[in-house]
Amino acid sequence: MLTIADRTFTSRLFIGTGKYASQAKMVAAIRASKSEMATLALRRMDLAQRHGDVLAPLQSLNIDLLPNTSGARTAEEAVTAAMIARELLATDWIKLEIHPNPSHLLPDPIATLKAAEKLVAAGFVVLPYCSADPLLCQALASAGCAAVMPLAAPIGSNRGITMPDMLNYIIEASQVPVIVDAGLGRPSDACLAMEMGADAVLINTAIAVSDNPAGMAACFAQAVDTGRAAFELGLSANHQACASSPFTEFFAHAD
Amino acid sequence: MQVQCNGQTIHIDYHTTIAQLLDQLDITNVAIALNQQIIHRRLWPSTLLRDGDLIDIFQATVGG
Repeated sequence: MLTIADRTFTSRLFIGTGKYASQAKMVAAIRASKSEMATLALRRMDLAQRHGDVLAPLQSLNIDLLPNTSGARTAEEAVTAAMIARELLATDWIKLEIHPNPSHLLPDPIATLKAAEKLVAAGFVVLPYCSADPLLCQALASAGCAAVMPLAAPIGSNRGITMPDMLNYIIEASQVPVIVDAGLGRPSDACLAMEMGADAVLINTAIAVSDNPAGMAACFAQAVDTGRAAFELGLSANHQACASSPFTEFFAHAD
Repeated sequence: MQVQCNGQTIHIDYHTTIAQLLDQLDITNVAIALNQQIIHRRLWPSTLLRDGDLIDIFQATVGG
């Protein structure tokens, strides 16, 4: 069981709601993922061109909704976005993300820490999307964040865990749950993150852009369960060759 | 009188509240900022709009 702030989760797979071809596919994928928390974003409503309301189908799933601050380029904008999210969704939970550069979408560490401090002081449960930097993650936890969300690779890149050493340092030292976010492209990537001891993963693109999002969501759910189970059982740390079959007297080798 | 609503000019009657404006526009499930100040939904029925007010309407959308 995973506990973040005052909530417990049976599933260690969190899911994003972006990039689905249709709302029906999104809902089917969230169901198949068995996820208990889905992210969503905010935007200024376009009065001229009304889009369907995404909130009603998500609320019908009866899972936690985690709004993000996507679109914010500064700490101040992220705080404003969080305030709007709190008003809109009646939740104190916020996925803090500040990525001002559209070419790589990497999170701004300084603005993220600054915004995290302000949001914690304002009573938010802050889950910051951040670089896979052990010292930054430590600073975010010390600032009162309820979890840290280091990236595996740039958002939407499907490149898997590009900095396993950094992620290991983060997981080993973290006082708060570690949710590996962004860039996990295959179920095996998610499984690896869980085997390494991550507390959860957040998947969006890899599920949403699949030809069969619900099918792929089920694959990720299995991978997360398997990786976590293996971690809890304890994986062998031995990296040296070690025969699995006994060396009995069979051929009379000279050595 | 007129107000600016997400970049659009909207003509409304005097003594229109935020709640009435949203009704007129047939909008639900949103958050509102009036002149860049977030207004809690319990205050919508009692908050009167003034000529030239700047209203921002935010809604949830898909995202990761």
